[in-house]
Amino acid sequence: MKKMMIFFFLICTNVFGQVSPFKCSIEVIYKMTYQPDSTNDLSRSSEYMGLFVGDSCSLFQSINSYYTDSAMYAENTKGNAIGPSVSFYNDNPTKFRYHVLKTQEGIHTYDRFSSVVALLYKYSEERYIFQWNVLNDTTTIATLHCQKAETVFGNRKWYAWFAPDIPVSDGPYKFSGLPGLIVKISDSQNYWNFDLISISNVDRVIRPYYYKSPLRLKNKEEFFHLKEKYQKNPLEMDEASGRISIMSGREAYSKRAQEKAKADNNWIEIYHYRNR
Amino acid sequence: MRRRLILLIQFIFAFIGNVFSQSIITGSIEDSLHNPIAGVNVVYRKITGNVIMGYVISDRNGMFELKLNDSMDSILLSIRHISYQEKKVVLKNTSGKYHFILGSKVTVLKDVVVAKKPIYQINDTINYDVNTFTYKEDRVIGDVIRKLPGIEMEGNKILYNGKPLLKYYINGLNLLDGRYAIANNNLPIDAVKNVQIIENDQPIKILDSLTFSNSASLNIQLKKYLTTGTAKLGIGAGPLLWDANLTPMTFNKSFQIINSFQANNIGDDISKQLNSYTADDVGFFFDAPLPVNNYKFTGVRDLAQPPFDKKRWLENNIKMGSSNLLKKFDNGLELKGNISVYNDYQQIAGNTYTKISTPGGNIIVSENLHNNYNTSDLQGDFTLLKNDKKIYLKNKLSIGKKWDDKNGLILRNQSNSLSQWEKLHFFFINNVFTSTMFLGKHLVGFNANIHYSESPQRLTVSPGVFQNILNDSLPYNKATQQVLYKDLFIDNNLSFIQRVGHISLIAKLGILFQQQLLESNLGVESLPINPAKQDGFGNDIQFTAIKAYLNPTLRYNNMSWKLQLEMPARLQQFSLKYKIPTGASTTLNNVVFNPNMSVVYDISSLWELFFNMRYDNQFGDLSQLYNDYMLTSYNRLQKSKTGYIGQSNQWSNSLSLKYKNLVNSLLADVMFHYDRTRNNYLANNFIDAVGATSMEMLLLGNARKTTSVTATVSKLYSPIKSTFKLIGNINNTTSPQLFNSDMSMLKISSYTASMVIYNNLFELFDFNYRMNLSFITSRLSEKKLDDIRLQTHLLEMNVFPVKHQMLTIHSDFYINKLRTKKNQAFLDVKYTYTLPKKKIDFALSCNNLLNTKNYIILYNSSYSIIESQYGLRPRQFVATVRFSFK
Repeated sequence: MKKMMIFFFLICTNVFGQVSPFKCSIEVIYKMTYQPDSTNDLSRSSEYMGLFVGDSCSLFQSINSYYTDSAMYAENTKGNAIGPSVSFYNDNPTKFRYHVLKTQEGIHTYDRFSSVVALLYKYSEERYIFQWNVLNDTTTIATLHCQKAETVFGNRKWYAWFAPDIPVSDGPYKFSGLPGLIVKISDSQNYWNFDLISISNVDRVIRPYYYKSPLRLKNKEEFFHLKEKYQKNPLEMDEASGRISIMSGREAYSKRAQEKAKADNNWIEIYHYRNR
Repeated sequence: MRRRLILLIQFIFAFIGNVFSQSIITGSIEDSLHNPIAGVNVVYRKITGNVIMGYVISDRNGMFELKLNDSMDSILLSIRHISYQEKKVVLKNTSGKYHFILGSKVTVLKDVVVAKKPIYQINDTINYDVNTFTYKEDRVIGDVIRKLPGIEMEGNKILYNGKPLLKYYINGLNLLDGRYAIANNNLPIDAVKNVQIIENDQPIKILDSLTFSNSASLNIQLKKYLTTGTAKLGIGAGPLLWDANLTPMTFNKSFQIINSFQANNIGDDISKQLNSYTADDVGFFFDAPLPVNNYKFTGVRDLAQPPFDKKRWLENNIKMGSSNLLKKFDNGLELKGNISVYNDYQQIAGNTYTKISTPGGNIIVSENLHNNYNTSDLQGDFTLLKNDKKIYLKNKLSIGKKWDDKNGLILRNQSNSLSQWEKLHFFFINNVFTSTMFLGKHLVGFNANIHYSESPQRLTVSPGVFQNILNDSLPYNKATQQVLYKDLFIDNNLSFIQRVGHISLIAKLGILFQQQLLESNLGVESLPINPAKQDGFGNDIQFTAIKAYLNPTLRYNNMSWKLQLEMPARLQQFSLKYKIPTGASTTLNNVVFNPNMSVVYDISSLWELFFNMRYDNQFGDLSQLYNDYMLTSYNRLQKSKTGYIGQSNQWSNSLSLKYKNLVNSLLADVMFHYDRTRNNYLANNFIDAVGATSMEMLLLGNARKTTSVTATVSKLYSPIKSTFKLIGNINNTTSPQLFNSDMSMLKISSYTASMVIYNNLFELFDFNYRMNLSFITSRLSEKKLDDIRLQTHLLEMNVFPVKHQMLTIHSDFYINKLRTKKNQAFLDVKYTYTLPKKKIDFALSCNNLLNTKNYIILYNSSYSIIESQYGLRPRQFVATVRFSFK
């Protein structure tokens, strides 16, 4: 039985493409500071993000979504299929619903466009997509000896500081593949920053939670294409999903969504079709 | 020349060779069972370098191919994976194929915390990062604690969400019980890693999983075990002033000691550091207060204390010593001793102007007071504690003695001069034994509490007062009130606890015996002797109460609900014996129920709702039972109806809503309170033309009501390095008053709002600003009494013009609605030079720079409005050296 459990934990994705529970031994917290609207400095905001490292995989998600996942699991085991109260979600708000699961097979991203329509998409990338150029600069960040590296990813140039003394080739978001944990990373325009807050040894089971199996996409480009399409026609796409239908106030709904889209023009990876 | 050329050619070839013919190292990595290891970092460096020159990560088959790109002869190759032992090899810079086998190893990373979140929560513990809240001028931990969001300080008392702390721990040990001010005022910040608030703290470990607590404790986490402390020596002039403090402390894993020796005459009332600000735990009901009876029956006329820094006005000369020691043995036994002693000589001078509103009209009294107090106090506590998952055992023995010698001179209405002398001794001994352990499968507690106190006291007033009552309206020389009060109290109880699922059932069964003795004699000394009034007025009363009680309690808690229902029943007998004048006695038997209910609902991780409803029956104690006159102060003469034990019942409700968002560092709460007390007795006050009050207790049913709303909000704005705290309070009280047998209703409404800002944004200066607005309006029956309005602005600013130098400006501004003066301002300045490295502060301070002579304050005391004027300490200079030692 014990062996089965280990087997269960080791395999991080199950047949449905959902993320299975896995045992996490290292918890890394980053503070993500970002500017969603490149035309507006005041739109800068920040959120705490967590990297949960297990033996053969890792999961990166916002800390608040980790809380809601845990609460959902707790409620489900109690027999409450609906999950925690709406107020719990309101108390732990997050603007980032994505989960990035790094396994030996690849980097799998689970994301959705809105919270109203929880249609979940999944796309996968190669495990070692990053072409890092390790530089000679070194520094000390939080008592950790760090070395600098650069890469181009998502049409942005990124500078990372990694700690060779922590032999975990991982980091925030999809960033990984350096010979040490990424302690700090930001893009050349300083729109997106991840800064280490803490590293702790933990012993816990991570259980990402989804209502439904994700919809697999061919590739990342397809996802960003859909995301852009969604920003332009949110109402139509929400309705097409069959989960919602708006009887009145369609105009307002559309307008609000478009304004939101306009202010969300500076994604972490730039794959806007208009930029092509 | 030729040789050089060869060298050059060699160099060029070597260079080209390195560029174009790079070496490639290939290899495979396996574990000891020959399974390939994926994701291994294969890194190479210069042999003597720290910088990674290149790297590769092994694939799913444990294979790697590493291109060496540098012109080095040899390289240091390191093969690393978090789950395996690191391997380091030195290799020639040539291509080759290698095979590595790694032994498994569990790597425990060093915990790293960088930019700590200023406030974060783990389970029930809220951690405050001390660095975030430490400003340059802060030296001791109390300086930081008062700034923390969610925490307020009232003098030395720490409140979390408006409620006093349950415990104050240092490294998890409770060395000081409630006298935590000694540590709070002397523990250097440098020694502290974190300040933690433990919500729902259950200090009794054996009860941890059985029953919850709704109170919070504070824990100071030190960076390491150490010896530290504060030392200070100040000398000043105008007249000779001193301020000395030596407080060494040692914290070890199983041993803690804090000693403190302090003395000053600069107005710093250090005796307050010896006050206890937490409740003692008594078994399951650790919130049950010890019934401490007010032992003081008589005393000299005092001035109400002004609501600002005592240093402004207190003329003192205090010497204080305190020694606190805790030793925890390997078997978990804790031994604790706390001994403290102080002597204080105080001089207080001031004027009061009292307007007493009676239904018959206003009576105005002015008093000019000059008081001298000499107080000595000695107290020792000895505690034995065993607190683990199997047993809770505690014995605390406290012994104390206090000596009060006071005299006062009063000039009443500019014409009548009066002297008063008070001598009061108070001795007490108290032992509390508490134990909780498993008897079979059941958890059983036994508590025994014994308390004895005695207090002889005497007040002498000359010339004699209340001539109409005490001396047939003839003037006389001297009135002497003598009182001897003794109180014995024994309480023993057994408690049981049983947990069924989410429910804990607790029952406490006990018996309480209390006997109070009061002897008093009011003697009148007149010349010539007045034959009609020689014996004076006397009481000799024995009051005995026996109470058998049963407290069944139900506690329920799950993830989000905590519910407590208590239904204490008491079968009690009071007997009252008057030895003089008649030997009459009264007995009262009854059964009372004091139900109480509280609910805590965690609406979410951010919101919490609390509701409490309580009904309490109370019975009069000796202070309301004496049948013959007692002179409680020169202008107050008091007695109650013979043989009558007053009864009252109180019904109180409170509802509070708490919000706590630690990501935003925002904490807030709002509390509503409604309280109704029904009494079957009422004081009938007779006020004469000079404002002297004689009082008699009468049998008369009445009710008193209080409603209040308090709201607090505190927030740390990290970008501007500021903490904001807002507190608002509205309080309404309605109580009946009886003047010269005329009944009237007194309604008092008070509104207060206060705001505190701590700002630390700028390099050049930081500041804290507090504003307090209060408005009190009252009505006696339909007659409106004078309103009281007070605005207080306090600004403390620290300027850092040059490194290691600091200028502190402390200014107060009061806007008062007074008869004479409207606004009052005070200013203190202090210049501090800090010796770098050693962290020694040299300070020169000037207190009361504006040399303000008086401070006037207006306040109300039921039906009187009192304007008090205090003589302030004049402009004074003190030079101080202060350092913390490690």
